[in-house]
Amino acid sequence: MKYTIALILILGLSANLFAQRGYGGITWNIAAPAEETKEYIDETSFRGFGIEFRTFLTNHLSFGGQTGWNIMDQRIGGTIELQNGAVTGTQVRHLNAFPILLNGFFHLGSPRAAIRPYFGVNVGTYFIIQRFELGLAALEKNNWHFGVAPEVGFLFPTDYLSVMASLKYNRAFEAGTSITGEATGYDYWGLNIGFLFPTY
Amino acid sequence: MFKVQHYLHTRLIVSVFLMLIPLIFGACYYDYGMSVSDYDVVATFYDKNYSFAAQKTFSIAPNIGHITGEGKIDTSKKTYDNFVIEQIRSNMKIRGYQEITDPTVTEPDFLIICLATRVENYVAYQSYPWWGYWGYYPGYGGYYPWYPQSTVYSYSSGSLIINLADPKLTDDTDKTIGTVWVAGINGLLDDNAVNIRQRLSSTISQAFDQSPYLLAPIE
Repeated sequence: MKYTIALILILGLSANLFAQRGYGGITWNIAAPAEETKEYIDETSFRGFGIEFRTFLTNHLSFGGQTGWNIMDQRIGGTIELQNGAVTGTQVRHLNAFPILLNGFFHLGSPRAAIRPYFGVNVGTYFIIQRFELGLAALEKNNWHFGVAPEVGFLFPTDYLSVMASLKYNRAFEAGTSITGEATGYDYWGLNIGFLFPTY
Repeated sequence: MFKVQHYLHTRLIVSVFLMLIPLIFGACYYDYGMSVSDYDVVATFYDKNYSFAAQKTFSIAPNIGHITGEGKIDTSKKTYDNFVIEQIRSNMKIRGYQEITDPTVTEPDFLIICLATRVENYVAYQSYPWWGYWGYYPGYGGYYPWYPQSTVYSYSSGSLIINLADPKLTDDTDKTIGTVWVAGINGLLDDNAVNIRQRLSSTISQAFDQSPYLLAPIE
């Protein structure tokens, strides 16, 4: 058994030496809040961008990382009922999410294929700023969250670069305290469209 | 040749993308083009154990108390005091309460006392022009992208507090007022007189609208 593992490792490392190639990328990130986050903000945001890199360990397997910035906000009117009262005013709710993630992806098809679907998972941390404005008052809480983000996407290789499009489900687990004083997690879908460039 | 083309294409796309970032983002916190009235807030709180349904009459203090800093002279113009009192009176009557004009003769069920504050707020901050604008005008020598722009602005905000007290719960010894309902209305004061009146009218009505328990019993 140990010889089998050693053989796989040697073959794997050999493959890395020959197939390793790096890519850097930039993406326009669209975010749509999900689950409980949707109760706070229920509007799709078109304000976001991402930066990523990925290194192909083999023709199919890549390892990399990504970071970015998604701004989600919503203006809401109406009355909030309290235990012994009520508050009426224009609320502006904001979420600023900064994911810092490592990822591993498996790419289908050959490197020269016209379309290369891929899937994988991102794991890392999300720095999330939650801000709530009511009239002239504002509450703000900043927290670091551990998070995961499964991702599926497509690469469209061209002569100079690869166009990419991906769908990612971001889950930032409960941490710290939100503006309500409770530990809160955040969920949002991300649709990312951009380019990957060879870096070496 | 291929590498040069590749480099130029990559640089062009990255540059275009980076130039688009300010357009995508605009700002961390989008302000939604809020108008002055969008900053108005009406908050009401009440004593859940108090029997509002049993009360029928009210009196309202003829003057609004203007809160100033300790040792400072009250210089407020009191332009809207009568208007505010009239709005509160009107809302109470709409909800079926009868006004007692002389509370020294007949004790009302509710005594309404209003307070007002005005605060001048000053905000100073430094901002930096978008780095992307640097060099936009080729003739502008001496235009440094890191040169800060200092901005100072001020605004006036005000609060109106409507206090609904039950004289029977007021304790002269402990000097406590038996407040059973309070409304706090907060907003910007930098507005014209017509708008301020309109906003005062709608926010005072809102304070009563969001307090459905304020309703005199039907006889």
